[in-house]
Amino acid sequence: MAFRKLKRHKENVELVSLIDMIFILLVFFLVTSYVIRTPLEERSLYIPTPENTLGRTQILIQIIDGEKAFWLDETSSAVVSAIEEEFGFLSPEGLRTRILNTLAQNNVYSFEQLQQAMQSLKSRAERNPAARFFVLIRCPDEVPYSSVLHLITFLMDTPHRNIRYGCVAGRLNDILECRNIYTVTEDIGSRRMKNIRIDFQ
Amino acid sequence: MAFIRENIKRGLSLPSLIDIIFLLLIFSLVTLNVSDVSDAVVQSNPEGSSAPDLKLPTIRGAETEKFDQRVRTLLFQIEHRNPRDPASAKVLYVLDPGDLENMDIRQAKQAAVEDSAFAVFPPGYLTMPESDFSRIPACRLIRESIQAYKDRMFPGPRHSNSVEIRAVEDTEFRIIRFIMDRCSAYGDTIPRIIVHTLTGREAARGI
Repeated sequence: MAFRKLKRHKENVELVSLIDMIFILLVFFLVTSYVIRTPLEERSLYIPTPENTLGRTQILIQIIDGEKAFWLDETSSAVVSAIEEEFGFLSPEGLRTRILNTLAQNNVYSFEQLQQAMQSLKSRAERNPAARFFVLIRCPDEVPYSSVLHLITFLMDTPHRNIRYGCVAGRLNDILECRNIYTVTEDIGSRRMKNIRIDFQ
Repeated sequence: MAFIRENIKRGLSLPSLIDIIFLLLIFSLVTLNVSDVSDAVVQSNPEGSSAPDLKLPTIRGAETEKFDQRVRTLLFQIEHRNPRDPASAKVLYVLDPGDLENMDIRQAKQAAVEDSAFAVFPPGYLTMPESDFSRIPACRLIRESIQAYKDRMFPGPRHSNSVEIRAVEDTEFRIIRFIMDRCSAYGDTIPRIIVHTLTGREAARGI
């Protein structure tokens, strides 16, 4: 019995398509290499001169290191006030320790959490063009300045430019070892508010 | 009469498929970039197109633009003494364009070296008390040069008055804070600071 040899179809890659693909790959690498190179170029970053006033702030960001930061805002006042009411029977030293321990436990943010908190602050600033926000950034002296610049760049990028900032040196330990931390009731505008007051050593 | 039906398999050609995928990829990459640019344009005119284009002066926020290697105002350059050794001490150069409107950064640095307008940060400057730190030669140079430049070039508050900082990435916050504090002491006379992060590439080239 004679077997017919099966015809094998040779699968050829079409030359035109191949050239087409090569060109597309070339264009792709050109474009992506440009995209990758751009951020490495030296850029000028314009930032407003920070406010050089000591005293009051609405939001306090204490940079701990390149990965963590301590955040205090008006919600922290409510936490401190609740502790004062619940543990008012403690000695002043005991109350101070309890407040600081609670804040240290709840208000130390990773940089992702910090970014979220700042994003919500920016949203508030965008929704209320007439409102003014002041953020105090405290940073240890030995931390690279890029950590602070990152925060400033993020916060200043608002359409109404209604977030201002101050920059001072300081460590988390200055807050955790403060002489006293408590709330004070103040009349701000037409509102009566409880604010945190920190007496540093 | 018997007809033979020929079944032709219609499959997708692989090179064409890859071709289309790459085209789509490039299209999305390019359009992504374009949409970023148009966002920036919209932001610079928040009132929309109906607002008259008055070109009012505005203090710029945290915006970035490419640095053109020219010195236009007082510039503090902080780099490692040995650009190839990140552990070496940091040096501060005060680059002053003088009466020129702008000056090439290399020329300005050369002039700073010739005029001794540079200082090395001594070991242990991070742990020094504030009063001692503010007395080291580098800080004295910062303080005096801002004062002199302000007296000469910034007679009053103006939105365009600025001081520049060009520093290697690992520059400690203490140095930058000192410069910011000194500028901040003049209030609205120096309303903004321009910061450039000196990349490893530029530092190694000694610019």
